[in-house]
Amino acid sequence: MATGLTRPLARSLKGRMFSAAAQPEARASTSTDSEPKCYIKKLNNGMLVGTIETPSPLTRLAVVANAGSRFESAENLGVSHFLRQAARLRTENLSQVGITRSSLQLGSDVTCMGTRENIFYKSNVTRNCVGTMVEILQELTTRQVFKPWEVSDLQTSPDALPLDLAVFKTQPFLHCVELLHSAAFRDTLGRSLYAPDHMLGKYNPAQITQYVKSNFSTGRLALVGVGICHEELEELASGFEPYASAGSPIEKAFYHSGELRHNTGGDLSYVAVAYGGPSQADKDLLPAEILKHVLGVGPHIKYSLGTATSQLAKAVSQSTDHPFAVSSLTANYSDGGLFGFTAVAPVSQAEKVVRAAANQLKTVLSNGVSDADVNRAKTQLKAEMCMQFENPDILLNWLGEQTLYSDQILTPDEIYKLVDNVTTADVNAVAKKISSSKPSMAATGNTGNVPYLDRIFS
Amino acid sequence: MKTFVGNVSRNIRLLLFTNCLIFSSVSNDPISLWFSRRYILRETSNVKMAAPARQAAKQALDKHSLLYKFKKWCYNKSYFRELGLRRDDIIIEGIHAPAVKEALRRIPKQDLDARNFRIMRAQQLSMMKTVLPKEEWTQYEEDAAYLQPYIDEVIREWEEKKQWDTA
Repeated sequence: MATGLTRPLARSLKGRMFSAAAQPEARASTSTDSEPKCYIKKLNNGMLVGTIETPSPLTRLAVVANAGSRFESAENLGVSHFLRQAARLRTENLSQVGITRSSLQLGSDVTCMGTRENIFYKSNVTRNCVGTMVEILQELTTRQVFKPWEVSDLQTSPDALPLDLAVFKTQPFLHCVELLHSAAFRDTLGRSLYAPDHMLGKYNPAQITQYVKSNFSTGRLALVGVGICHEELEELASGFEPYASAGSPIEKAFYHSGELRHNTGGDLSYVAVAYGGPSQADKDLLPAEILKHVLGVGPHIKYSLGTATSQLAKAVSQSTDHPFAVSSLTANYSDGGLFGFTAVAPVSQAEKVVRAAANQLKTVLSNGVSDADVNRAKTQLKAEMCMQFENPDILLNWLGEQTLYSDQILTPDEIYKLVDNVTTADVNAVAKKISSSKPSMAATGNTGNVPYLDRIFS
Repeated sequence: MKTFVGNVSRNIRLLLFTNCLIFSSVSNDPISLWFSRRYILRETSNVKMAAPARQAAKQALDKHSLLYKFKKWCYNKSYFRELGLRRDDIIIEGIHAPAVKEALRRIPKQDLDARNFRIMRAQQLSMMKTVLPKEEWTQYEEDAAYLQPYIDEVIREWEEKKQWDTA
C-alpha cells in the first residue's frame, strides 16, 4: 500500500501519533502509596470499627465479640465453646439452612473461632457482596434466638459439640496448654477454651442468652475488615444494634502459679512450664518476644533438632540421645501473660528433657543474652511477623484485637521499627523481671516420669 | 343402647362438621378446605406475618362479632371438648405426619406430658362410652394453640429448604 500518495500522508500522520510523543515521565510512586491504610472508629451505636484498606479483590470481614472463655462463670463453664458451635443456629430472620445457603450463594463462608478473650465470626467475600455478608454476620452476633430443641441438639448430635470434644481429646498438646493456663491463672484466663464433659447437656437457652446479652454488648463488639473502604464499613456497622451494656466490671486476670498433671497414659510425656509474662499492652511485650526467639521456637529446618539457633534445644540435645521436641512458649492477653517452654519426650526421657530445658530457661533468664543472640532473634521475629501478616486471616485477628483494646492501630511497619529499637539491655531487664515470678507447670500424656515442679525449681 | 349409639353418631357428625368450621376459621370456603390438606396450614396459608403480629391479629377478633360467636357455638357443639381434649390434640396428621412428629419433639416437655395425658384420658373415656363431668370440658377461651405454631414453623423451615433446593 506504500504508494507515492500514501507515504507522505502516513509520514505526516506519524508525526502526530504516539510514536512521536515524548516518553512520559514515570509517575513517582512512593512506598507510602502502596502501604495499606488503617482506620479505627467508635460509632454512636456502640460499635467499634477497624479497617485496613488494601486493594485486594476479596474482603475479609469479622465481627469480634469480647466474649471469650475468660468471661464465663462456674455455672456456665464452657459456654463460649458452645457459642462457637452455635454460629450455625437459627437467628431472628435466618434459619440454619438460610445462613448456610445464602452465604454459599455469595461464594462466601462463615467461620467462628474463639480465643480466651474474644469470639471471631469471620467471612471471606468478594467486594460487591460485602453488604449482604455483613447482614448475615449481624444476624449471627446481635439477633440470636436460642431455640430449646436446637440448643439440645447441638449438645447431643455427634457432629457438633461432642465431635469437638472428641477431637480435643486426641490432642494432648492442646490439653497441656489448657492445663498450664488453668494452673497459672486459676479462674479468668485459666478457663479452658473447651467445654468440660460434665457440662454437656446442661446448657440451656436462658443461660446462653444471658451470657450473650452481657458480653455481645455496646463497646465490646467490633466489626473489622481487611480490603474494604473504611467509609463503607462504618456505614454498614452503623446498622448494628448491640445489646445494651450490662456495665458489670470485668474480672482482672491475676497470675497465681501452680501445677496440674493429668495422666492419660501412652508413650509420650507432654510438659509445659511457664513464668508470668507481660500482657499485650505491656512495653515488655517485644523484648519478651525477642527472648522467646533466643530460646528457640522449634526447628526451622524439617527433621532437624534446631540446635543451631535454639538455646533450649541445644541444652536438651546434650542431655539425651532420644528424639524430643522443645520450644519456647509465650501467651499474651490484655491483662496477663505467660512465658516459658513446652516439651514432648518419650516417657523414659521425660525427666532428663524437662530438667535440661528448665535449667537452660533459668540460666538464660538470670545470666542474660548476648548482642549477637538479640540481633539474630530480632531478625527471626521480624521475619516471622512478615510471614504471618501475609496471611489475611491472622491480619484480621490482629486488627480485631487492636480495635477492641486500643484506640489506634499499629501497622506492621511500625511494629518492625519498634522491634529494631529494642536493645539487649531491655531484653535482659525483662528476663530478670520474668524470672522473679513463680513458675507454673502442666503435664499430660504419660506423666509417670515427669519431675514435679518443686523438684525442678528447688 | 339405641339412644346411646345415636348420641355417638351425632357427636361424631358434629365433631367432623365443627372441626371443618373451626379449622377453616379464616377461609371463605370451608368445604373445599375440608377436603384439602391446607387446614393444617391455617396460619401459614394467610398473609405471612411475624408470629407476634399474627397472635395480635387473632386476639383483636372482636368478642361480640358474629363470626366469633358462631365459632364458639361450633366449638361448644363438638365432641372432643367433652373428652377433655384440646383442638391441637386432634390434629389429623395426614401427609404432614413428619411435621407433626417434629413439632412434638420441639414443644416443651410439660406440654407434651399434658397432651399425652389428655389423649390417654380421652381414649379411656371413649372406651367406657362416657364423657367428663361438664365442668371439666375444655373451654373455647382457654383452648390456646400449643402445637400449631410449632407445626407452622417446621413447615416453613421445610418449605424454605425446598425453595433453596429448587432455585
